[in-house]
Formats: sequence, C-alpha cells, structure tokens
Amino acid sequence: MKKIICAILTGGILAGSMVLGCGASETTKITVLRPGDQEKVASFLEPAVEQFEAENPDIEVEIMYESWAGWIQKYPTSFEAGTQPDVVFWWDNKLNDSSAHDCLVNLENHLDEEFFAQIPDSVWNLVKADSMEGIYYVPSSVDSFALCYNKDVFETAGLDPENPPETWEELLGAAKTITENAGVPGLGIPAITGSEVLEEFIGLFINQATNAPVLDENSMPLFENEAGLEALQFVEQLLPYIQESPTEYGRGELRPLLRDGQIGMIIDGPWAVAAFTGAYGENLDESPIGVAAVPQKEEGETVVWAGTNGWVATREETAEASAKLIEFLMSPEILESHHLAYGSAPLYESEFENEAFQYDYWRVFYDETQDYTLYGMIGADSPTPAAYYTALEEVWQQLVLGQLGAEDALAAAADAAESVTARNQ
Amino acid sequence: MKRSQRRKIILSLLPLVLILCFVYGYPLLRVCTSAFLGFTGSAKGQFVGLKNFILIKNDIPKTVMITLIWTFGSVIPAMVFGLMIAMICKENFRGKKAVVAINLLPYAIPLIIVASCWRFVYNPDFGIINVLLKKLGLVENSITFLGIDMALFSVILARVWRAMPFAFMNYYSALTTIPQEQYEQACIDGAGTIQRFWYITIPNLKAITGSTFIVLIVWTFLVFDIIFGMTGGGPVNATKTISMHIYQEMFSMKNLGTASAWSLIAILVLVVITIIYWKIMNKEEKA
Repeated sequence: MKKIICAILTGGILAGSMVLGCGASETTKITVLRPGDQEKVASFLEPAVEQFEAENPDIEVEIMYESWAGWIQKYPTSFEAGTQPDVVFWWDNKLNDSSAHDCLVNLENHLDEEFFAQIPDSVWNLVKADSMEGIYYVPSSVDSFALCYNKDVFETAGLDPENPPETWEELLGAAKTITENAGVPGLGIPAITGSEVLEEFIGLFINQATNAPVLDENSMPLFENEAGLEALQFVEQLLPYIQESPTEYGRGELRPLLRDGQIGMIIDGPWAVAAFTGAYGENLDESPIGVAAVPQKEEGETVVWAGTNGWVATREETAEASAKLIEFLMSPEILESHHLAYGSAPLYESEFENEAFQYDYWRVFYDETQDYTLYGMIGADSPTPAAYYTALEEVWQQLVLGQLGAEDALAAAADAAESVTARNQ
Repeated sequence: MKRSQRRKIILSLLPLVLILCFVYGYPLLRVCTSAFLGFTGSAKGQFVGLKNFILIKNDIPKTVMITLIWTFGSVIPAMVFGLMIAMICKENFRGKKAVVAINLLPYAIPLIIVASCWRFVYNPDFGIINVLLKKLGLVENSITFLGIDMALFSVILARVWRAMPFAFMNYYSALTTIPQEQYEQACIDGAGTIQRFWYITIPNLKAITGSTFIVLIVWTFLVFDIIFGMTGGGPVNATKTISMHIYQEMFSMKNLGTASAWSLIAILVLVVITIIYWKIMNKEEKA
C-alpha cells in the first residue's frame, strides 16, 4: 500500500513539476550582441542585463560576445543562417544591408512616444533611411566630428590657442601658419585604405558645402554641383599643409602625432579622447590638447558629420521582449555607463551629472549633436553601403595624393557612386 | 594488369575521388555557374551571360599585372635567398642549429600577424627602419614604405620574408641528399666552388626547385592576408591583387557573381602558368 501511495505521490510531483515547467517555458529567451572588446562590453552590459532580468522575470537574456572585426566578417552568414542575435548593436547606414534588411523589425509600435522624445530630432533625422518607414534603429551613441588641436604647436606658430579656427578660411590659414612657422604639418588627413576615414573626412566638407548628405534616397550623388566642387577645392587647398604620405595614416595613427606636437590639428570624433586622456589625464581642458567645434563654411547652416551606432531587433517573434531590452539599455543610467565604458559622447543632458563628463570638451560634442544639422555615414538606402566607401575611397585618395584635381575628382566620384548604384538596380 | 586487380584499384581510389569531388569539384562548379548569374538588383538569380566579366573588365589588365608582379616578385627572391641560406647551413659551423631555427621562424607566424608586424616595421613615424635610418643620419625625412610608390615593393618584401623558410627547408633537405663523392670527385678534377655549384648542386636541385617553385607560385598568387593587413589593396589600388578583388566584390559589393568572375580569372592565370611550367620542364627532360 505504502508503495502505491509513494508512486502516486511521485507521479503527482512529476506531473506538477511538468505543469510548472510548462509555465516556465513561457519565458522569452533573447540574445543580445554589442560587438567590441569583451571586457568593456561586459563592464556595462552584464550588470544591465542582470537588472533587466530582475525587473522582467519573463524575459531571459543571453549576452553574446564578438569583436567588431569578427562581427563584420560574420554577420552576413549569421543573418543568412538565421542565427543572428535578437538584439544587435548596429550601424545606421546598414539598415538596407542585403544580409540583414529582411530581418530588421519595425519597433515603432513597441516603443512609446516618450521614449522617442528623449533623443533629439537632429539625431532621428540623421539615422532615418528614406526607403524604410518606421523605426528600425534606435541610436545609442552619436559621435560627431570636432577639431582637435595642439595648443603648444599653436603657440609656437604664433597662433592663439584659445581661439581655434571656426571657419574654413581660418582653418586653412591656421594650417598654413603652423606648417610655415612651427615646422610641422598644419593638419592631419586620415587617408588609409580599407577604412571609412577618408570618405568621412571629405564627406564633412561636402556636407557643409552642399548642406545635404553625400547620397540621396536613391543612392545617387548629391555633390556633383558647384558646392561640391567648392568643397573639393577647399580640400585641395589644404593639401600643401598636411602630413606626408597621407594614405599611410588612419585616425589612430594621427592621434599620437597630435599628442606629441608633430602635427597641429586633426578632425576627429570622441573616440580620440581616450588617446589624449591616456597621456594628460581626464581633464583635457587643462592639457595641451584643445577640442573645439569643427570649422564651418563661412556662409550657411552649421553642419557636422556624425556617425552613430544603435540597437536593432532582428526577430518578429521576440520583438516585444527585444524592444523592452532596447528601451532599458537606452535608459539614462544604462546609457551613461555604456558611454563611459566606450568613451562615447553624452547623448542625454542628464549624463553631465556624472563626474567623468564634467569637462568642457564633452560639451563640444554634445552641443554639436543637439544643435547642428547632422550628416553621417553613407549608403543607408542601399543594400551594399560598404561598396560606396570602397568606390569613393579610390577617388578621394587620388585627390589627396594630387593625382586628380578637384574638378576631375568630383566627376570621378560621382561616376563611382553611380556605378555602385547601377549594380544594385 | 588483370581485370580484377584493376577493379580493386578503382574501388580503393573511389572514396578519395568522391571526397575530392565534394571538396574541390562542387565549389569549382559553383564558382563556374555563379560567374554567369546575377546576385544584385533586378538580375538576382538570373543568368546574365558575360555581364559580370563586363563589369570588371576595366580592372582586369592592371590587376593581373599587379598579381603577377606580386607573385613572381615574391617567389623568385624567396627561392634565391632560401637556397643561399641552405647552402650556408649545409656547411658545419658553430650555431648552425640556431641559424636553421631562426630561418624557420617566419614560417610559424600566421600571415595576418606577419602583416601587422611589417606594417609596424614600415611605420613612417616610429617604424624601426625609419627610426634607424634617421638615427644613422642616412635619411632626413621618413621613407614612405606603404606610400603610393613603394607599397607593392614593401608588401613583396614581407612576402619574401614569409615564403623564404619554405624554400630554405626544401633546399636544405635536398642538399643533404647530394652524394658527397660527386663534390670530392669534382675537387680532384680541379673544379672550383662556382663550378661545383653550377655543375653538381644545381642539376641535383632541379626537381626540388621545380616543385617548390610551382607550390610557392600557387600559394603566393592566392595570398590575401598580407596585402589585406598591410595596405588593404591601396593606396589607389597599387597593391590590389586578384585575391583582394575577390574579397571586395564578395564582402563590400556583396556580389558573388563578380567575385566568382574574378575567381575564374585567377584559375585561368594559374592554369596558364602551370602549363608554361610543364612545357619548360618537359622540354628540359627531353633535352
């Protein structure tokens, strides 16, 4: 008899646990990937996910780790195979990327109005892909260009380090004066192959001259006009005052030169800050490195180039949970720790309450993001955004090496962009 | 040969043939078909004839030329240096084992690391070559090794450094198999060092030279990592070999069709090189 009771009890317990188990299976499991250095990612993402899971017991989040280089190589096959993470830290110009486009989820109905309002309109305009209606991408870090300059070099050249150039003319004048008086190149231009840096550098001047993106919503060039020519002619004017063999330098190679006073000025994003704080401590305001708003064309709107990364959801079936996680990762506290871990500029005013962001140079990046017209990475409406960088890079390299004049470079660049677009039609 | 014996041989070879068909045959077939298919825009999935080749036709002559310079410019010096060092190591001297080991070291380093190291070495601001040259007062301004004029030469030098140990290994082992009596006899007959090298060493190394040459040619022709890591194919396409084009068409343009077209061109060039090599070898054998 005892055995029968035991068997019934055991059976009951098993059945009960199965029922409970079924209940537990209602938990939504999602994966999240923020490519980059694992230590940095873990430092902000692990506590964030822990907190998120505590607040949302019905959602289980697994963090995936991958370097940027690894992810760039892997994502096409990952999306094609359907093994991509549910939430990914993505690029604003890869929304139409042929590998990922069909997987990206419209988050508009999953996020509320209040959430959208905390990000400035300038940033939403920047990340909008005209060919896609809805919100497929939530910008998390916005990195605008600023002018970084060496105050000691300025002084040696007889320039006032407290009054850095604010216009194109002043930039050209400062570059010339530094080269002639200080004996070092006035301006560093990053033109290394296989990276996006040269297109971004020249793109900045094109954006400022045309007050338009480099490509339109049909991925056709918007710069083949007088204003575009003016931009390239200005770049051409800068060439006598740049470092030798610019194609050997990326932004990373120019920063030590600026730090060590071997170059007068560079145009760089907040990513440069770490290279300088490493040498001079966090308070760059009191260091020989100056950070100022990027010089503007004499007439017209204030325009700056800005690159963004942000969150996308990649599966309809987990969209609700993914949106919740994205909303959580965009909350001021978490975003602040994300920006601190990665040295990104603040996006919310509240981030300035943190001691690390109290310095004036962070305000430069923040103010640009909030107040300027932003233009950024190209190819957002194309299935092959990287192809435009490859095609334009060859032309821009010829321009900075003096192999092509501004007029020829303009025509060649327009042809190059059009031929990439034609391939996709 | 008896019929049953022949059947046994065929049966024993069958698994290998099947594996080779799967590993080499299928991808080759896919490349051949993909080169004539569209992968972008409205042409996606359709037969497009020679369109993929037409899209890349302007780049073909320059790229093939750069690839050939890169290949032969790397392989020939690598073999010459490999032979020279093997000749030195053939002799007995103190520290011989260390010299052999040091010479084999580059072969153990992955290509992408080789690329990073050489990029560092060539750096115009803190690269060891420029720093040394400046300290010795030999140059005033840095040499721009990876600039437009010298980039191809610089990547070739890195490849020579990496390929040389393979040639050295082959030559070193082949040299040890040459009968010592031949040299002794030549000495008795009054042959000098150059004559001994020319009439004994070289003929004895003919077979290993041929196989090393063709293996290194094929490897180098397809090397991607060193160029990708050092110059990315630039500046202004100065180091853009066929392998770099295949990569860019596939990962930047996302066009498997044009990437396959470049692959077929690579196969064609390699087949031509191999045929020329066979013809030369056959001619020499007959002679």
